[in-house]
Amino acid sequence: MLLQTTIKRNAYYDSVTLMLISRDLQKLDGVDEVLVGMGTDLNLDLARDLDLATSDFDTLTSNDLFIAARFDDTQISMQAIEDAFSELLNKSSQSDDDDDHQPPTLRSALQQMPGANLVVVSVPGQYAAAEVEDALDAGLHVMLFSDNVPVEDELHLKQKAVEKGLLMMGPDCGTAIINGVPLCFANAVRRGKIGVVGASGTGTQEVTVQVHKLGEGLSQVIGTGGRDLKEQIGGLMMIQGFEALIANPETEVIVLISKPPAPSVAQKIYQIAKTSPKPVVIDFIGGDRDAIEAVGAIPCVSLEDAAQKAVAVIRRQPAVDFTGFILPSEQIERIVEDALAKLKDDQNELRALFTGGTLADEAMKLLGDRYQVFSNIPLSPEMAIENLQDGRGHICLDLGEDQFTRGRPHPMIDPQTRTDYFKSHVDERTGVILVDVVLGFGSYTDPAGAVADSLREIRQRLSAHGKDVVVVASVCGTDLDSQDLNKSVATLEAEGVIVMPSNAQAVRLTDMLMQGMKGA
Amino acid sequence: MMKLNATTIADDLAVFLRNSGNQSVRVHSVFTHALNLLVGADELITLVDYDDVTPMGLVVDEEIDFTKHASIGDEFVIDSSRFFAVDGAFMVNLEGARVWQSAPLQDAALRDSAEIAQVREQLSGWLERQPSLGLLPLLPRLVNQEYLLNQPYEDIYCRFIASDLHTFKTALIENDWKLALKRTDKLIGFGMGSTPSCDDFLEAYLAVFSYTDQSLPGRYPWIKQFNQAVLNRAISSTTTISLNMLRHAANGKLNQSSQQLVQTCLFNTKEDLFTTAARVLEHGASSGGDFLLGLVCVLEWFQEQKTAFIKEGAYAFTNNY
Amino acid sequence: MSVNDLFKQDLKVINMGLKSFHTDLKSQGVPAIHVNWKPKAGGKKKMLDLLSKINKSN
Repeated sequence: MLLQTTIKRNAYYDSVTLMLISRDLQKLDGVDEVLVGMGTDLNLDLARDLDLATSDFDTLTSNDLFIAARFDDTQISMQAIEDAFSELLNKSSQSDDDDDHQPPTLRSALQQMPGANLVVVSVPGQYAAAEVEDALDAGLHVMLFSDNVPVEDELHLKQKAVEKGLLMMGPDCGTAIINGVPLCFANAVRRGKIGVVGASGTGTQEVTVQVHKLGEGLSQVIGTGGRDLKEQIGGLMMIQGFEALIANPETEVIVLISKPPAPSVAQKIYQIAKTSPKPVVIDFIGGDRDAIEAVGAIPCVSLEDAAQKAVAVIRRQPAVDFTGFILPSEQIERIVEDALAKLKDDQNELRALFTGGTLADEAMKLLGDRYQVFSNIPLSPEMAIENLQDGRGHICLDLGEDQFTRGRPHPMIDPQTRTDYFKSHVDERTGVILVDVVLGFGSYTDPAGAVADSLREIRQRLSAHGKDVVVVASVCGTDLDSQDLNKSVATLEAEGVIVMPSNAQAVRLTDMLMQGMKGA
Repeated sequence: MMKLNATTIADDLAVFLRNSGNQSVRVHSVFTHALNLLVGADELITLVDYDDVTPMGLVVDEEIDFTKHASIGDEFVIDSSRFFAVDGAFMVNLEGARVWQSAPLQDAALRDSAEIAQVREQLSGWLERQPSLGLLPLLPRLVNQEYLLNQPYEDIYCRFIASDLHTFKTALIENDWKLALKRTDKLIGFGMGSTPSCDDFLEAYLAVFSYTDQSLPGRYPWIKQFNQAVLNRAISSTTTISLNMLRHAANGKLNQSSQQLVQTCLFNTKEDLFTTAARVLEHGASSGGDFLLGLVCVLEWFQEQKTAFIKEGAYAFTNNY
Repeated sequence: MSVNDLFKQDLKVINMGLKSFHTDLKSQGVPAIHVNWKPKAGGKKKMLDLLSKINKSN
């Protein structure tokens, strides 16, 4: 064994964890022990304790870097160790993006890419407005994913955008598909003739996915951000997007998606719909059906229904409310019967755990007030989740809401939050579990797998009480998504999940199960 | 020659330049995003090209790879209006630079004990989920007071320093600052990095002690002595870069992102804790993480003190009545 | 360039913030740059307003 020290005088290395390099050096064949560090007394003491000291140590000062190694000189040389050190140093200081240069500002990015036409902003909320302002000033369209942007800033930016004829999608805009390119959280869907303007991320995703499943395609999918249709913002982007789609040759049918707008905003939209030369399908989730029909637009009963109607219009077919199931009713009844047979009498509680906010909202609206469902997005204040006593009752949670995402990633990106809630909120009184599984860009690599793993754990836990549980899911995704719709469905079905083709159908099935549960 | 503009300059540097006029200095060390100039025997002026100014430093307005433009030993001429490389490589214009206040917030209300506890919990929970570099593998042991002897830490430095860090932290919580000071003999200069890990850990302690002393003057007379004693030890035991960092910290001065974070922890500044913490973590390999570890530990000390302070204060009030 | 003009062009995207969005764009072959973003001027709103005034007068 040879002991040698390499010294780099007055040498400083940063942004590279010398420790990681040290670890990598340790792994080289022939290296017994290696220590890398600055030549401070204490570091040298450590090296001595590790029997790595050589006479060179006497010349070391605190400002020198040393690499002290003990190695088998038949397998490796000190030069080779030094070379490896240099190589690892250079590798880690390169950008991890295959040598793509990463400019530090918008201005320098524009110098590098003068033809840029869209900026996607997802920096922390308090800095976002300034960046968007610069982007709009530079004549660029903007997708603003960040939330926690003050509403005054949103108004100012949208007014500017409208003045300049630009898109300012957001804040809190998670989904858009422009020119066929999915942006942020969006699914891979085919191009086609249906244009969408959506104020709700997963709501928009569900509509696009259903359109794709029905064999049609999307021309443009514009996001507006969750607050756009409130009084203070006045629907500026919804209107901007709506008018753009009216003028867009590829778009034959327009679909608008949002929670119910402020009345004055709804009026503005209805006015445009009234004079629109193209058919307009409006899903103001739970909104005013009559008012929509009165202006010649087509109202909807669910996100799936919005997609169905848009497709029907394209195909010159009647746009009829879709309130049932795709599977024949006998089959549905059999599914419900078999499922209920698995439950014991005291298993009569619902646990709906959603990652997509609009999907959770749709579930709450479709279940309606026939059941007492406690939620963090309750239909009425008494049903707020905080009011739930001793955990007994039906629960439906939107796990993407702020209270659950403090200091952790959104559950669509990281399934851990929902995994934790499966553990904590499902027990022997649970009869039905309802979930959404969202695929596509931005989502976790295998959301179906994560749910399947949790279910395995739940079933194990419940079998100790001699119990089982019924699980209903819908998968918001397509065959073109990287997570693969078919594979995801198969993963869930292998765990005994009842997979329905849409969120609305999954909720309807859940409703039937709840009706069948004793004392639900 | 590259012409850069300083966007931000630390107040202490601005004052120093005004008072010392024109002088010649040498490059001490060069990194991709930072350059250190040596002034006098061991003081450093730091130039960076990202928006996080140091207590004796400035920020330039363009991204630049300093290593391509300067080497150790290069001569610079500096004054209040510009820094000028004698070999013509680049110059930095200081006019129009905004002056950054490096001193801690004055007249700010310290958070109460319950809030500090919450901040500490949130911060350590967040820190647990970050990549485990530098001394961070020691987080569970130092924060939760659960530890196994002979815990199998993969990293040599962690393995060797675990119990010394623990002794240091515990001694301070038990108000035995003399024992803690003695233990710093085992800490200063130890660990990986141009600023050795333990120095980054101590930086947090020195800064929070200084903040405490400034907010509650006279309450802890030992703090000034403690901080100075640590600095004295540091002079011969660690790198010049680290010595400068510790010196600033002992006076309550940190680089901007660390200052923001410490202020967010101690005062109710309404900044987002995780955003400010993430900015600190970004900088300098494991330095940010080691600093954060120190911060989480010293916040526990601070929390205990505030509790004690409130208890005493309340008692005094009752007595006066 | 109006919204309808944008619909006629190829997207060229500047990404600022989460790296994964940039990675996804690249994987689809969309020209995209990722900005190595750092907060401006210490993030203080007052400073931002001042800066934009300075920028405007330049």
